[in-house]
Amino acid sequence: MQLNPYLVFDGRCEEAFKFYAGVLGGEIAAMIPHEGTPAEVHVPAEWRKKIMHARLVVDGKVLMGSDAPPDRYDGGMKGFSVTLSIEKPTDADRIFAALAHKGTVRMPIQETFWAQRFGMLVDRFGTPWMINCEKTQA
Amino acid sequence: MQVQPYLNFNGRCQEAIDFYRKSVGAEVIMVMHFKDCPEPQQGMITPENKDKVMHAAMKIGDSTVLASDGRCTGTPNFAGISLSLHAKNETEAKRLYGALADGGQVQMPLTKTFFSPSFGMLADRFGVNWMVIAAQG
Repeated sequence: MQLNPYLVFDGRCEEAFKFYAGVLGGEIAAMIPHEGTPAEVHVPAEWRKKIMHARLVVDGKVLMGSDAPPDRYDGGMKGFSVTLSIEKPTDADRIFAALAHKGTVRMPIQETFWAQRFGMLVDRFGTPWMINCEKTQA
Repeated sequence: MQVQPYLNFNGRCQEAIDFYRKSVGAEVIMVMHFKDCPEPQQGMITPENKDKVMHAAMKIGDSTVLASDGRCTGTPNFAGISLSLHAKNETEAKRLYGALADGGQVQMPLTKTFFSPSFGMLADRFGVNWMVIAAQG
């Protein structure tokens, strides 16, 4: 059984996933618009080029997303973060800075009691992230 | 690199962990309460939150979900995310869907779609949105 985070965007899913693929070094395995699928009749005409299903694979881990039409969009992302566990502190700093560019830093990346580097941010698309680079287990 | 959802249950985290143990067979990897925080900051631990969950990790299927009570404001509020749960077949999908929907809200009953023999959406009793999808047979 696999469990994957599925993010809901307001129409910028494609832009967001391309940004994430670049920053995280992932591969976009699916970027399917509503148009051309049986789902196209369920969205307004101007929404057909928006994304019905996107799948990004990073290091074997899968992040999914789609664009919700305005009448089904529930107003942003709340109550969760996407956590990235990263091995190297330098990678953690680099990815934090890249995701935070034009976004909002909630907690600057720093050392904590569990992590060499830990920080929280909301990116320019509204996705909340935690970047975590744990201390090596003694 | 690991990519994992981190859910904020705002005070109902332990209840949620117990529910996911029963409904989807979650295995608890760790639970740290606020009172056990080795480096508490001033004002961080209160009589109200000392027994609440500061950080928890559980394994659901082959994946890890992280959770916390966050600021313990009392009402979990999730938006803009679903947990997509991939079942190995329709039987497993039906079982998982039924267990998660108990006390929750059905958004789309399990249905055959163009991409899956069985796909459905629901919000569980904590407001976490789930998509349950059975693998193509």
